[in-house]
Amino acid sequence: MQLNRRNLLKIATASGAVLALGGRFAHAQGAQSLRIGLSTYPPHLRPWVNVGYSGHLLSSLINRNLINYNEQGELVGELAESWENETPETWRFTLRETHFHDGSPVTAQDVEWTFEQIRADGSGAYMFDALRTITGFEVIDERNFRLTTESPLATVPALMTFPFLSIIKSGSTDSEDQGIGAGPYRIAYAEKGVSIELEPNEHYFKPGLPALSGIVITPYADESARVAALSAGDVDMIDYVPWSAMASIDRNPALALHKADAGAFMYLSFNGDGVFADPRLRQAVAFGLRRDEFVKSIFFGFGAEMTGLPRTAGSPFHHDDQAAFWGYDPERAKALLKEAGHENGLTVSLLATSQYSMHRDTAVLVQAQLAEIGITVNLTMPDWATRVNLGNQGAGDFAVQGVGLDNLDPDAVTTLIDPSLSPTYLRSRNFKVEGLSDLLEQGRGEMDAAKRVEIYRQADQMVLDATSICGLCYRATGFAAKAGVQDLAMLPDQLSPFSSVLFDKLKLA
Amino acid sequence: MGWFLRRVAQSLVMLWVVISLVFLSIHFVPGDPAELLLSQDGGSPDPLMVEMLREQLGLNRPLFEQYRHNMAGMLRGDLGVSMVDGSSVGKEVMRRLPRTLELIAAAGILSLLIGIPAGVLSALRPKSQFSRIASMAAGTAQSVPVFVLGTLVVVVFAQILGWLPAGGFAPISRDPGKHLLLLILPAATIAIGLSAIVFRITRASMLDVLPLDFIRTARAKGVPARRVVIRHALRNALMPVITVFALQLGGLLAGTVLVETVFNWPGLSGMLVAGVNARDYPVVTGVIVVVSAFYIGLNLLVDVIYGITDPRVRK
Repeated sequence: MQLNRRNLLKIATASGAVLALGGRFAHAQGAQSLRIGLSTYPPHLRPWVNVGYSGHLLSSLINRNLINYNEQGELVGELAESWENETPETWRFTLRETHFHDGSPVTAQDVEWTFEQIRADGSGAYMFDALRTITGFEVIDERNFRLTTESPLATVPALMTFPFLSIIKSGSTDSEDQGIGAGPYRIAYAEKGVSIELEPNEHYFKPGLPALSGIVITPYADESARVAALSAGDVDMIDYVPWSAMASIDRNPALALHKADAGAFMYLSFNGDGVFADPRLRQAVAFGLRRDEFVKSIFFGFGAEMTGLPRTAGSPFHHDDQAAFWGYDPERAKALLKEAGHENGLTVSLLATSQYSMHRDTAVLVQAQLAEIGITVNLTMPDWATRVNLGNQGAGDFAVQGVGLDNLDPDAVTTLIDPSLSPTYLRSRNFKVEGLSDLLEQGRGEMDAAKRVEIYRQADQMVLDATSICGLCYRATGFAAKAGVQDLAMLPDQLSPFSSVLFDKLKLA
Repeated sequence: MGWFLRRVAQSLVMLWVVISLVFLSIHFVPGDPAELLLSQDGGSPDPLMVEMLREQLGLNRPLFEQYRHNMAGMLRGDLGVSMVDGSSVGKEVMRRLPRTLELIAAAGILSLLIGIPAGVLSALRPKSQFSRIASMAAGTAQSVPVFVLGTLVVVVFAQILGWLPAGGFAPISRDPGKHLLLLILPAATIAIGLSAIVFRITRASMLDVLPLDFIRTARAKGVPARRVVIRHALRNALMPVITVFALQLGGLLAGTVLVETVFNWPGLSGMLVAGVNARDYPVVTGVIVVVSAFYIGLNLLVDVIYGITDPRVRK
């Protein structure tokens, strides 16, 4: 055949038709499989136990809670279709008509069994303490149940959103570690430390979802290896994007960076056993730190300053004046030191860890900045296991901390801001903020939304004045994906590390 | 025979000392596994729950009792269960050990294929351009840290050229092709440093052997040059190469941690690091015991080979 213009046109038309048919064929073949590079292989697959953010990512793909948050931070029903506060102490829940992976319906009995497992002695469940507030569980019928609390508890719906409060089929953990969930995918294959393969749950309650034909999860514990796997095309998506790589991923047109700047956050907790019993010295620390430098130097600019308590912008519990309370004011810090009798300087010890760079670098920066106002900081930076141990024993005058919140209810920060709670390595200890515990309890029990806002405004002001926690900065939470990964949405602000609850919508272009 | 039994007994004592030292050192390092297990993501462990878990894991028993229990298990060939997920340490070690051994074996073969011919050629013409370049390359290969080399090959071959996957693992039973593809970069990364060592030892050993009388005699008798080099010179020069190579391989068993991390190869090293971080005592002890046993066994094997080839060693 001679290659003239007419023949070339014929070939082009034929090729186009083949490509179009091929495309249609490919489409007809259905959805594609997504490859995720995960930051850690979950220590185990048992439900209800806190296995970190990466473990939650897997859990949220195979399980579902009663209630969850949407992208706007609003509570939305998942397995629960509706819920209402019948009396100040009782909540009625109605389950939607949905099924577990094996096709059996999700019933009130399954929810009751799940709660019993969590509350069993030695369960190791993340919600063990939190569910103690629920004193009664009454099955009304297959799809309705009632929860009773000892006293009015406004936080009940928010409790149901807690990560790792997955509803599992009654008795199913006897036959397989992870039990049988009702999430968009189920485990088809898992090899510890190597990979987990998920297949779609055809009984999933959201119409048309999940859109993918499967998910293959491969752990890449080393952050550089994780980023390399994404840019080399070994995986389609990664979690826990290292801050050092965010800028380059953002610049790469083949990739997309999905991030929330006000994700988990870094803060300091104080030990009132020594000099930090004096609130003026805690305030001096809080006013002596330039928080923009923490964001720039430790998180490569991917984060935000934390000058107040973690209250999501736009929430009724966020107040601009309180959010900007701890500005950098070295003169005020020095004046507070002088007032407390330490005008000639003060030496304190700071507990951190060398195992995680963000903790280590935060400690070094705190040391350098506080030296400018006359506070000499001696650092103790063992590995993480030792740091937890020392923290629980109450070592150090103050400590570097980094956590996220579990839900958006204002009560979620209680465990971080109230030093009168049982001592642990993650919050201040050995001093009290007068009236705070009572006010927080009042807030938990108040059903009137407007009154709750006012109560937490007062409580937050107490915390800020007493500086029972010293916010440093928020760190951005990032997921990175190939441009073809669609509908990757994120939960707002502090909840962003738990965004995988929205990954049932993920699809590949 | 007596000499052999004495060496075996020495090896067993050495293994016992290693196990005891590992047991003591990890128990004396601060950090409570029960507290850690209940403190994931900044969780707030209830002291009562921590105590219950300690009891469940046997951590509240006296140290000597834990040691005795541990040793009794080892003698039965039972390495215990992981404190984190309750899985059998022995099974997990046996699942991961072949992956690390495979990596080392592939790297070993590759390094011999590169190092020995290069060493021989360089010794035959010690002042040639090739010899100078090879010596320089070997020096560089030995001085570049393995994680730098690993990162470099990932950037070049996976990210820029896109020829090979950046890392990961696929069981050979599920996808043999992908398994081999994934093996290339980590094995090559280890092999580069190792082949430099093999090259240097081979070259030095050949330079020692080549001027000897029996080589001159062989040449005088008209034995072909190739045969003189391979059958007479190389064969005699290989002993130090084998010794150093075997010791290097033994060291690699515990030393592949960075390569396994960079290439996401789920071998024994990653298991050890995770075990140390979680203060998972049975995992740490189990991995170290297996690695030590392997290393001690390898030394014993080299000694036995020496003893057979050179009877003076047995005295």
